[in-house]
Amino acid sequence: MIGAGISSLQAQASAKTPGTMTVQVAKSQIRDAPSVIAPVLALVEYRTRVIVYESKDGWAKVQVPGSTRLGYMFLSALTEKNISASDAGKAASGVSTTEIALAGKGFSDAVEQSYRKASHVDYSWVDVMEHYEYSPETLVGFLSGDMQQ
Amino acid sequence: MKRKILSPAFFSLLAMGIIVFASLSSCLTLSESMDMLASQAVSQGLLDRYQAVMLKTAAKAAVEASRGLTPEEEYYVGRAVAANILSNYPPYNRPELNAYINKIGQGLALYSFRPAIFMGYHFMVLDSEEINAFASPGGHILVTRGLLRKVQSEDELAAVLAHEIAHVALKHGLASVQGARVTQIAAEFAIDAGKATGGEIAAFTSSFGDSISELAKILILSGYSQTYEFQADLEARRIIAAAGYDPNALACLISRLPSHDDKGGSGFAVTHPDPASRLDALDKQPLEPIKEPAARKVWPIPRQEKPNERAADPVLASFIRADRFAAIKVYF
Repeated sequence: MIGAGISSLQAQASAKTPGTMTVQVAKSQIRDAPSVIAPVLALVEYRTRVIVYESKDGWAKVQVPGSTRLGYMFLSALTEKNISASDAGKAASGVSTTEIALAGKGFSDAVEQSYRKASHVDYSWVDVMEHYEYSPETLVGFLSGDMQQ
Repeated sequence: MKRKILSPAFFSLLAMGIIVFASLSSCLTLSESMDMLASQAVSQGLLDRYQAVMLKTAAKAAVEASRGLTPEEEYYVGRAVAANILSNYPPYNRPELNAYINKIGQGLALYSFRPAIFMGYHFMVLDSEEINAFASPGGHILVTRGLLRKVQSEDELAAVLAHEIAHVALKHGLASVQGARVTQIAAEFAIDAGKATGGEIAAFTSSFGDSISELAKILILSGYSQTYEFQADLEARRIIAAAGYDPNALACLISRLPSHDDKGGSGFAVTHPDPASRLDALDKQPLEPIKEPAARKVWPIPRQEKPNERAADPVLASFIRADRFAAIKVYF
């Protein structure tokens, strides 16, 4: 039963994907091969729509936006939900009100500012944490024992 | 104004609506199905307009509850929870140690079930003797010096970090908060910022704050459910094996952690299942063979791209890991 939860999630990750998905992380790289050390073809940002051809083992094969070239990105960076701001107003074509609202426009930022003001909780060390950021190439080298990374 | 009492027929209708939704789900949303059903029921005199509105409202709430939070929303919840934990536990400001922890943790996350989250995984050491670690939704992971002092190798440190990564990847944080709160927070997050009034933001800030307090309390005082802890152990063992660490390191570390019988226990001794039951759960589900060569996430590094030839030999790599662990351990 414990393992079943994980298996079920993994099954979802390898499910057949629709034609178009949306980037659901702040930024993500499209690479030349399904590897975090393969050359980067493009950077895609939150809410970008990409055409997905197939997905396997946690990777999605996608078309680089504005190009005919194909590349690979993490499947977990994509969602089937439409969270593209440019799609607001397409309710009649099947996009739900919630999905349009998820276009966001910074509401989360506004809530954080309001919460910080009301709670006086100090976020400074959270901001420090987020400064520790390494490229996948560095991380793979480090884990394999590279002292220079 | 007097309202009709909701009759058994109403609830039968609600159940029928759900069945109708299930059968039509490929082409209609739950909301649309309920709207259609409610309109028909009003026209046939089965429901009055008030009851129809209630039916539609219930359907809308169910839709919001099923939506969950987006990674962006998880990130903002996670930042707030981490900030609250950092208000209770002082950070350990050793940049060398925090850089080391982040390189291992972020590297392990590449092999997790969810390698890409909204702003990535971030780690920090807390200056506390308590044996504890916290995984906030959104990828902010905090580990105490007390827990680090229990760790005897980089492999065991990887096991600690992988366990916390697994909680984030498997979305255990938000799943532990009361369902009603998540429903409320999800619905209110969906307000369009361009149209949100000051009052709406203030109201949401209040429910947001309540959810943050509840989640921080769960993480600090009670911990996740036993099922989630066992799931995180299994996923952690898979992650470290996929990343090239010793999968047995997790069991080795768990066997040295305090049990529930330890007097005055806090941290892990309270928030995690007893070590014996964790070891038992790991034993019952042997590690499945890891796909070779690391097919899932990281392809073999082409020879010309190897960052450092010294790392090519796994035996040599283990010596290098041992050396750097010994060097960084002085900060624990």
